[in-house]
Amino acid sequence: MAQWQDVCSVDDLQPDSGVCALVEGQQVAIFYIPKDKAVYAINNHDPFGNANVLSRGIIGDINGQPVVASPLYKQHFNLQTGVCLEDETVRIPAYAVRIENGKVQVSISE
Amino acid sequence: MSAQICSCYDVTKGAVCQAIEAGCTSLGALKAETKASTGCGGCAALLKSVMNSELAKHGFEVNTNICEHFAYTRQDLYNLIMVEEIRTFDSLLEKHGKGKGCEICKPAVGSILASYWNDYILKTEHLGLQDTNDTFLANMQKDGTYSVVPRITGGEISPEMLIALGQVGKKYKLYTKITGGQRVDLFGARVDQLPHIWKELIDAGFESGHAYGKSLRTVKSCVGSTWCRYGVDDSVGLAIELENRYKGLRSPHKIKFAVSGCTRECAEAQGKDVGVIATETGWNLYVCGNGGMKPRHADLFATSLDKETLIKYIDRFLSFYVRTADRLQRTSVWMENMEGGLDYLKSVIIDDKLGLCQQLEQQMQHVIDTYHCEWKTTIEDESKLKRFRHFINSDQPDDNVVFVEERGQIRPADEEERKHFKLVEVA
Repeated sequence: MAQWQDVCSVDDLQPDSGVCALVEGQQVAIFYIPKDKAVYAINNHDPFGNANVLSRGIIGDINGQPVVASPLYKQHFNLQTGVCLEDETVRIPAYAVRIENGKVQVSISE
Repeated sequence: MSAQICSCYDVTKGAVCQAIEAGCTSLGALKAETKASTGCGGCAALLKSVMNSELAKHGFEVNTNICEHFAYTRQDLYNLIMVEEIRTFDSLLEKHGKGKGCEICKPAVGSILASYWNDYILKTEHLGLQDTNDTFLANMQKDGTYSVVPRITGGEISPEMLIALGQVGKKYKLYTKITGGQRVDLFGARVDQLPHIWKELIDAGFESGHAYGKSLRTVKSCVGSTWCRYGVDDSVGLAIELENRYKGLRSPHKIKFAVSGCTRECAEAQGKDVGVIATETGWNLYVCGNGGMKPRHADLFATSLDKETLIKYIDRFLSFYVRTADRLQRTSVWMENMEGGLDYLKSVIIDDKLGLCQQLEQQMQHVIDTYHCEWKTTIEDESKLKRFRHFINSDQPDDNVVFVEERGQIRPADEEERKHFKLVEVA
């Protein structure tokens, strides 16, 4: 069962961009697209560049999949599954995330 | 012998052409097959241009769309924004695109909007468009920390300013290196330190150097007639004036200038996008030079100019480049691909063949009139500073950032050193 944790206020999110939150010791990149009322959460660690930077990448879509491009070497990661589009054997953790009463909540454990 | 395209993996043009003939007709397929452009990535633009010309040769229709979201080139998008007076990415996407955008079209449109309107790039509606370095107005390094480059116009700096810079470097324990553009780069700043560092730099009289932007970087100069026995004119004075005039201009790619005080050319102006050399009869203007991967000597554009004419030509030249170049295309490649080449460019800029010159000058004047130091604007706006922290919900720094000492300064720890550090920390 999802264990929802309050992370921050929805006002702390960056419209059409990302922020990083610390949740149970994990770095979680949270992306927010107000127009679609969409919020996504994946791990902040870029496995190619080996740095905690994914929250600072540009978001968008490739063939209809919501993605973030790493700010280091521009590999794309699916925001829902964490799968890398350039190398599908690479998958980073994706987390459940929701907005409840103006609070952003993330669930790290399934 | 076939020319080398990718030096990381020693891939020749012959090998690339062979792969194209074997059916690799996309950049992705070509990279996967030949490994070209999968190392440092510096040859990506060259690989793409070879691919496009080969595909055209084989009768394929070459797709010049900027990406899947816009069926237009950068030049088309510039014209749409200009003619329809579009001010945001969202309205451009709504009218002329599809989907949500990506890391290709967003920064390209962000750059065009900045060139044309010169809005503050971290305005809420523009923030998500900015490329890696622009989003935090600093240059991201391999470990996710940033480097900071204040503007030092013409490379001229007083001892007081140099001391102030040194004090900031020392206080924040930054790695300090002199750049190729006659200024100082301070490395190893965490994202939460950037506003503090900039507050101190601005208080000391510095302003943004735009090292993070596709924009005017530096105007390098030799010491000129003021001190040099051979100097013919005041190259430092002109360099400072030019740098102050064009600082903040956003462009398809970075722009570098230099001014030399005589033909000995100590500032290496002929290797720059815009180069100026003093003569006994006025300034000689060179354009479209480049160092970097594919060095190109600049072309002599006009000779014996007075300063007023020189500046008028540079205004027009830069505006025309900003308007017509492709995304991430330096002036050298722009020139190489220009139909009619140097003579055509002269006819547009000097003879006003297209009747555009007044518009080009007005466009530049708008950018000059609306200049502001982005860092000053940022530290004065509390709401903009919220982003400058690693965690939105904690003051902890990123524990993945680890420095070790080398030659008396910090550097990022390598893989082995990191393991050791983690062990030590746990113990």
